[in-house]
Amino acid sequence: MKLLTNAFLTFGTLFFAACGENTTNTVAPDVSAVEINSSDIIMYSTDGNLSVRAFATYTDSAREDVTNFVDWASSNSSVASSSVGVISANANGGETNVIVNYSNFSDQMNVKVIKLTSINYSVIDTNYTSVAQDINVSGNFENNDANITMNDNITWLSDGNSTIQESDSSRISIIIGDQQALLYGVMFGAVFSCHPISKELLSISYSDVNVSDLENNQTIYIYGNYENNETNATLIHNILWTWDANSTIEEANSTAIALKIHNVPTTITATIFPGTDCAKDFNQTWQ
Amino acid sequence: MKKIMLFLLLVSSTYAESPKTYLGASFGYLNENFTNADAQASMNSMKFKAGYGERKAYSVEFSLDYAQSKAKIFSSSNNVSSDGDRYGLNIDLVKGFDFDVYVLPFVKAGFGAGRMRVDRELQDKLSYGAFSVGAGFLIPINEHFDLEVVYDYKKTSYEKINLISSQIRYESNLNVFYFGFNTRF
Repeated sequence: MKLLTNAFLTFGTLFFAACGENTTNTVAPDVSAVEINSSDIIMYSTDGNLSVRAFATYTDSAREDVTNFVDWASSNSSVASSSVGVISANANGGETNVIVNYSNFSDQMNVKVIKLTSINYSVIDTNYTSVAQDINVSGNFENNDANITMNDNITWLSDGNSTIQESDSSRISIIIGDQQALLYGVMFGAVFSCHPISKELLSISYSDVNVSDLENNQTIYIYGNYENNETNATLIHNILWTWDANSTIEEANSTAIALKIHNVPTTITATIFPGTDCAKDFNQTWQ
Repeated sequence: MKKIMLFLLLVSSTYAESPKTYLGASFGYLNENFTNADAQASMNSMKFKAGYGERKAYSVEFSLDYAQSKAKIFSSSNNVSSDGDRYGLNIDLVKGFDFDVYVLPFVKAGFGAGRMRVDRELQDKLSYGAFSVGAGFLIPINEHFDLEVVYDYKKTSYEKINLISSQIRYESNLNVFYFGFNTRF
């Protein structure tokens, strides 16, 4: 027992002699900052998703990718949203801040979405019907950048007179018919662009009208003058007819109108693609 | 001092029949070495405990310990020079022996958990768990009072350090040497 006691006391003495050292420089690294690894971003509204990363810097100067661990937010998600470092435009133009948060750490970057102002369409041969043809498209933007390849955020719809076989943001494979056809570009849920893809109607010709024959229906035949010198052709367009107070169109079909003149001068208007952004008026006046 | 002695005599006379329950306090010194980091901490510690059992047989102890860290191992803030207060709650099973000498040796084993204040960007406290074994001896003053000299070894595992994309768990070996005083009633 005496031996045990002595051993215990000896151990205790050694223990106290060995103690006393204290680590005074932090051993466990800590987070010193969380930052997005990108400066402000300018993107076209038709750009695809852009990726940025978030990095944590540590007190031991190490750096680690924490993209998947921090919270991502946008100050105006209707313009652009961010999720796990992926930034997506949600509107045709605007500005927002993408923010990362983790506990008390935060960083942000500005994202500007450049507005698409118009679309360029490649020309197809409108004589080739029932055959798929490619229309290549590019965008013109508000910052005067022109003919920019569009990668995303625009889809294509056709009216009943053409069929889209396949498409992406920069190309449409389409089969057109004999009739008028429209191609719609849809961005963020709304029609952005209307593009006529049937042969272009340049003017409308009318058969002779007797301007002194008042208050009687006159049958007037109508013809279309199309691109490529195709004149006096049957109209392929549906037409909305309107007239002024000096005449009345009693009937109309694709080849003729029944016109009653009350007085001269009188003007009638033929509108193709009525009610669309592609609407185009053709006026005819008789003196 | 006279008042304390009178109080202790009063307590001992009150519970003269079955001195199995005891309360104690101790003061000691602990040395902590981390197994997965080059770090060490030494500090004073205090312990208050309540137990039930016999000196020469088995007893169970519940204890609350406190230490003020003097080392800066976890805290990263420049505003502090060391980690903060450290509180632990422990439960131990004690086996005493009587070799018919003037001290009563004992061994003990138990476990506990606690919390230490730290000043980090993402954490202001770290929890820890510990398993402990120890040995020591009681020096009976009379039937109701004894002194104790104890050595404890604790294997401690801390809550993971949050580094956002990863976590680090620190573990340490604690050697605690303390002197205490118990009163039994």
